[in-house]
Amino acid sequence: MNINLHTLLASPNQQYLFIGYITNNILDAIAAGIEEVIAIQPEMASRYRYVFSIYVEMLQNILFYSDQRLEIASGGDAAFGGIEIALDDDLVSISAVNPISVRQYSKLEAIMAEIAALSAEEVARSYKQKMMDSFEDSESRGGGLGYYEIARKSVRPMRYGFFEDGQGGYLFRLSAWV
Amino acid sequence: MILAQATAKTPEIFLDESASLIKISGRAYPEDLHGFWDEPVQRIEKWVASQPRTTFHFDLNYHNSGSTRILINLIKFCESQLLQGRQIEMSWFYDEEDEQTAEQGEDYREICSNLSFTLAQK
Repeated sequence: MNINLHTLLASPNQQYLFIGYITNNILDAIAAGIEEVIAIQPEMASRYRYVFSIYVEMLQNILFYSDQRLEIASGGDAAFGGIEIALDDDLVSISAVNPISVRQYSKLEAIMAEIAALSAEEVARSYKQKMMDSFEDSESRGGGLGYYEIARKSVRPMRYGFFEDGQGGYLFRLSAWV
Repeated sequence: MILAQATAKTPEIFLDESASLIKISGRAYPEDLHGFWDEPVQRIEKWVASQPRTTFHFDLNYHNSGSTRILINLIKFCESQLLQGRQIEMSWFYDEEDEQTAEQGEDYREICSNLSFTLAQK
């Protein structure tokens, strides 16, 4: 075992942490947990809808774009990645990490740099512009729009990073706070 | 007529032909975006293009960014039908405490300013 699970479990702020191959069934199971567990905690209840929506966007991005995949018996495939929901001071943080290809890295780096350069008001304006742009591009999966949506909902600037995985690809990490 | 059955991740899409009313209610974050939306949206657009008047009720308590793009396209299609002399009204419903859904409704209303688009608290 490469990590100390007991260290992770010792954190009082941890709500959900999953690292591994993610399927739609796993997305559904954690989504149910968010509704059943997070929504009833007084410090999180008022924000759980935002937690839920950011969580779904992040998990679906892993399912669509993770560069490490396995075909599964029920059809489709499983995508490798991680998700964490935690209390952070008086906020809730939602973070995701997954492997991406070099091609995806170039695309995401441009989107993230663009968002990072914007103020909160500019993010809100750009989000609406992206909505309009999506009208012209009905075939894409809307990845760019989804990142703007997360940025708009996050009460702190999103934090992101790209880390070389040593195998010619990258790991992409993204965090948001509500 | 039910155009799509509700599941945990997809909304019910219902067409009341006698009232020319289309209701889209529930959650929308389908695993297969186009697999879920394409057929009902085509049927809705065909309906709208054949009627003098259509009303939409959106009662979505969550939809993902992919579904946002589908809805924008549908709403923009409806907006284009105004030029053909059709009357189209849309209502966007939200729970009192659901600031997120209300905010999304405001976005659609702002973007599709030619349509009658009303936000309504449930």
